Amino acid sequence: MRVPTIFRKTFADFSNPKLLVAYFLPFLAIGGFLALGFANNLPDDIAALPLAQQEALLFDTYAALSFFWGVGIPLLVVGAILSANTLALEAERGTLRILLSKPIRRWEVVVGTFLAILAFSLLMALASMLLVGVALYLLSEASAAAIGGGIFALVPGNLVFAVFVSIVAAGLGTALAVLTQNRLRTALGGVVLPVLYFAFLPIRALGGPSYEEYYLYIVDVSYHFGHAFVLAHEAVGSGFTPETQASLAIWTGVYDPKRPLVDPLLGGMPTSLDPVGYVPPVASLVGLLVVSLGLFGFALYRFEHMDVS
Amino acid sequence: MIETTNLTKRYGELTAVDSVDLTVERGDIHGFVGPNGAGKSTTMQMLVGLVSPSEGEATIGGEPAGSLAASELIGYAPQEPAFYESMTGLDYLVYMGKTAGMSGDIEGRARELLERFDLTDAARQPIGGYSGGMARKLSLAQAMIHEPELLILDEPTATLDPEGRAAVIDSLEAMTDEGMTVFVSSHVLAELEQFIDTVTILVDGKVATSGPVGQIQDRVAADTYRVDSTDNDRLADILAEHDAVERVTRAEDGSLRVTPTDGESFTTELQRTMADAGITMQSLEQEGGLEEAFLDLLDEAEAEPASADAEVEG
Repeated sequence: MRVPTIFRKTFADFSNPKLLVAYFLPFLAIGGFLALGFANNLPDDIAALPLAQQEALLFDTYAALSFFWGVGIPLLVVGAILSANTLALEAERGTLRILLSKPIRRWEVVVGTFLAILAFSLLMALASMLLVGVALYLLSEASAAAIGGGIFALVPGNLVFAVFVSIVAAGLGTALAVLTQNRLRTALGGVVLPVLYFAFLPIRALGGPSYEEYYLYIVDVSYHFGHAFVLAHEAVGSGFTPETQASLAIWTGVYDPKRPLVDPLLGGMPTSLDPVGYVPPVASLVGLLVVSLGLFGFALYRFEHMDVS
Repeated sequence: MIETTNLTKRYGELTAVDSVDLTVERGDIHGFVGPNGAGKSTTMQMLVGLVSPSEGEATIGGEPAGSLAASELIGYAPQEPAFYESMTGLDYLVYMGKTAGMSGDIEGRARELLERFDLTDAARQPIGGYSGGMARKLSLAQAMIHEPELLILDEPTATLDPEGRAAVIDSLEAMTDEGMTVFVSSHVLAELEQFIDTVTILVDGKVATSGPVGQIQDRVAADTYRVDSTDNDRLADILAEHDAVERVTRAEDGSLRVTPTDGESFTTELQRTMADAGITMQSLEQEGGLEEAFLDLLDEAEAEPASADAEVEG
C-alpha cells in the first residue's frame, strides 16, 4: 500500500514556504479588509454591552464572514492551487513518468494525492478561519471574553463545513489535474468554482424574479454551499438564531430576508427566518457530494487508463 | 524476458510503432537502435506500461506489460530525466524506493547506489544543483533502487559531454557483469557496440532487423565500401550505371558508400573503371560495424518506396 507514501510526499510539497506566502499574503489583505467592513456594522461601543450580547453580535458577524472568507472562497481557491501543484505539475515536469514506472497502482497515486489535498486544505481552513476571527475581534473592539462564545463557538461547525468544501475542491481539482495534465489549466478550471461562489451574490441580490424564473439557483454555487454551511452547523449542534440567519441571508441565499425578524403587530421574540426553499438543503448537500465524488471517480478512471508519455 | 507480438501504437493517423515483434532473452544486453522519431521511446513506454498499445501485446518475464508484477521486474530511466529538484539525491532515492514498495533498509540501498555512481558527495545536495552527468547517473540509480531484473534505459547518454558519456557507459558495462537484463536505446551506435549482445534496429516504427550484433554486421555491412575520389559526383553517376554495383549513396562527408554485386572482384573493377574515367582515388575502405549496418538499413528503408514507385511506373 503506497497511499501513505504519496500522501506524505504531497503534503510535504504543499508546505513549501513560497506557496504558503503566495497564498496568505492576498488572503490576509482581503480578509483584513473584509473584517474591517464587517466590524464596522457592529456597534462602536460593543465592549460596553453585556457579554452575552457581545458574543451574539460577534457570532452573527463571524458566521457570515466564515461562510464567505473564513472557509468558503479561500478554501476553494486553495483546492485549485494545491491540485495544480500535484498531478498536473508531476505530468508537466515528467516525474509522473518515473513514478508510474515503479510497481505502484495508479489508484494509489490518485487517492494519496486526493487525501493530501484534503488534509492540507483542512489545515489551511483552520488557519484561515482563526486569522479572520482574530482580525474581526481586533477590529470590533469587543472584550476578549466574548471570543469564546462569539468566534470559537463556530469553529467546530466551520470545520465540518471545511471538510465538505475540501472534498468538493479536491474532487474537482484532481479531475482537472488528471484531465489537463497542465498546471495553469488546472488552477484556472478550479478557480471557476470560487468565482461562481462570489458572482452569485450580486446575481441573487440584483437579479430579481429572473433568478427564480430561469432556475439560476440550480447553478448558484453559494446557495448550495449555504445549505451545506447551515447543515454543518446544525450537525455539530451550533444551530443559528434568527439574527444569525438574517446575517447569513444575503451571503448564502438560503433564508428569505424579506420578513422582519419580529412581527411589528405581534411583537415578542424573533422567530426563525423561512428558508427560500428552491431546493431541499439535503438535496444541495447530496448533489454537491455526488458531483464531487463523480469527478473523483472520473479522475481515478482516467488516470488508470491514460498514456503518460 | 521481453516478448512482444504485433506491438502497435497509433496516434490518430500516425502509426508510431508498427507491428513490432521483439524477443529479449534473460541476461541479454539488448540495444534498441533507430533514428529520432523511429518509435524507440514509445515502444519502451509500452513495455514499462506508461503507454497502452493500440494493438498487440507485450510481456515482461511472462507478465503482461503494465501489470504490477511486470513493473516489479523493471527499472526504467527515461530519455529526459526528471526530478523533484528541491529534494536531495538521497531523499529522492529513498522516496523512489518507497513508491516501489521496498521495505527494510531503503536508505542503505540508496547510499550503496550513490556510492556506485560516484554521487556520495552530492547525496545531501538538492538535485536542482546537479550537473547533467550527475542527473543521468541519479536517473540510473533510481531505476535500480528496487533491484529490478530488467533495466529499460532510454538514451542514457543523450545530452551528456564525453566525460559524462564515459561514466554512464562504465556503469552500463558494470551492469552487464552482474547478469542483469538491459534493454537500452541510443542513436550513438558506436557506444552501444561496446557492450551489447543483441540489437534491434527500428526504422519508421518497424523492426528493420533484429539479432546478435555480429550477425547483423556481417549480414548488412560486410560488402559495403567507402570510396573517396577527386570527382565524387561523376563517379557516383558512373557507378550507378555499372553492372558490378548494386547501390551507391552519399555519406555525410561527401564520400560514396558503394554496395557491389560481387564483393570479390569489386576493388579491381572499381580501379579499372576510375582509371578509364580519369578519376583519381583518394581513399577506399571496407566498412563494418553497427553504425554502417544501421546506415545501410536506413538507406534501404528510404530506397524502398522509390523502388516500388519505379516498378509501378516501369
